Amino acid sequence: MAEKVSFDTQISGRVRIATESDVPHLHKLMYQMAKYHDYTKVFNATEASISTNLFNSNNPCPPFYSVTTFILEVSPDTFPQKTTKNSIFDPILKTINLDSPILDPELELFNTDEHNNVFVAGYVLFFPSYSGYFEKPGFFIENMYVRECYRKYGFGKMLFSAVASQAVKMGFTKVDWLTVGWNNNAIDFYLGMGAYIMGDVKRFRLSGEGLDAFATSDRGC
Amino acid sequence: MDQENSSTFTHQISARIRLVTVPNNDIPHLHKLITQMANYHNLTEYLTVTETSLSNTLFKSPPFHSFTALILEVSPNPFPITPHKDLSFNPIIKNNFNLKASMLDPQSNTFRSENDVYVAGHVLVFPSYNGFFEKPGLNMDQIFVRKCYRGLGFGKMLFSAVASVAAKMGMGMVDWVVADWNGESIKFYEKMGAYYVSDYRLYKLYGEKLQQCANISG
Repeated sequence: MAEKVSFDTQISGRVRIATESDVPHLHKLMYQMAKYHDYTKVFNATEASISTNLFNSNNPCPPFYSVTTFILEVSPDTFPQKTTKNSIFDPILKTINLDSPILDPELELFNTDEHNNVFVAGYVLFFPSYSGYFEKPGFFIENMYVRECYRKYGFGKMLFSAVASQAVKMGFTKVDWLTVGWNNNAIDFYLGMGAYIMGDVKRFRLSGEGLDAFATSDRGC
Repeated sequence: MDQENSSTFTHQISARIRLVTVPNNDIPHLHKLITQMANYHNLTEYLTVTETSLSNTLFKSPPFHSFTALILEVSPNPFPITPHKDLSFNPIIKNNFNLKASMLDPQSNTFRSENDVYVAGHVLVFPSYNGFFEKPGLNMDQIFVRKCYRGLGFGKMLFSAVASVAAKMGMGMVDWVVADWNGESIKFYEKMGAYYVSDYRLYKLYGEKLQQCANISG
């Protein structure tokens, strides 16, 4: 069925909260994002690790107080405008008219259900960030990605503003993230969103062997 | 100098790192330490943290599953090594560390935790996760040792406490940011085995611009 689907005159987008059934698609998206950043050599996430980290049933934190993922889906058909009672996040919908058709070379791979015309197109992964200096937490966006054929239609903005609006709804005061210096497209996008660049800090990391060295360290060194 | 507020350590000093717990006087001390750290970074005008906000954010979840604080205490006397019921974080104790010269804490009364125990530093962490990696991580938001207690290995003790928690919990990394001008801290982190994640810039959206962006979403 997927081969007959095409985005000729319109495309609809939906941003909703991810569920465990999204894991296989998330894994593919994360790998694509890693490829974009030339990180495939260090990419070692598996569907199992994503499930464990994102959908741990023993998670003691309330919604949005631990890592959260929003999925971006697209369809040639308009998404139904239904809100479920007690849902922790009401999906955000948008339909845009197209000047020219969109071709998705991976349509079948990202179809959520062979009986529908819904395709996963991107995601944003974020978690609360705390600063000892501020009264309220913020959200840290760790990953945000839209598949190549769906860029420049405002879907990135849709994903990003979904996080921003959730932050404001919860009384959180900021959204932060990191961007690599060469990513001019992303930089233009973020500056367009009103972001500030915190130029005078350096990011440090302890990982791999450097971190392992502390596993058996004498407590108190 | 306020003589009544100060204490002198002559030959030995003992140190303990433990979780900040409620209810006791940890929160007011933590707030004072955070204020000192803000001073160090010239960020005092941006401080909005209050003792209430610290209480509200620090104790919502089990240790290391959300915002968590460790506190460093010192004493001229050794700390008792008692078995702890809460095994999520056993206090780290280093007793009877010899001092090359006597040292003065000019604010000991302000930071008195118990009789001869004084709060000397803190570290704040929260969990992080990057979808590229199999294991989650920890983000170290703040690490601070009061000025009079620097140069004695307490920073290393605090840092090691965080690193060993991360390693033992099966995490893949500990991340943090440091100010460009803070050469001393940068050297310290490199000595601890950390590396600079080059070419990444930190971006932030807040205030009116955050509100505007949120309104797009509706």
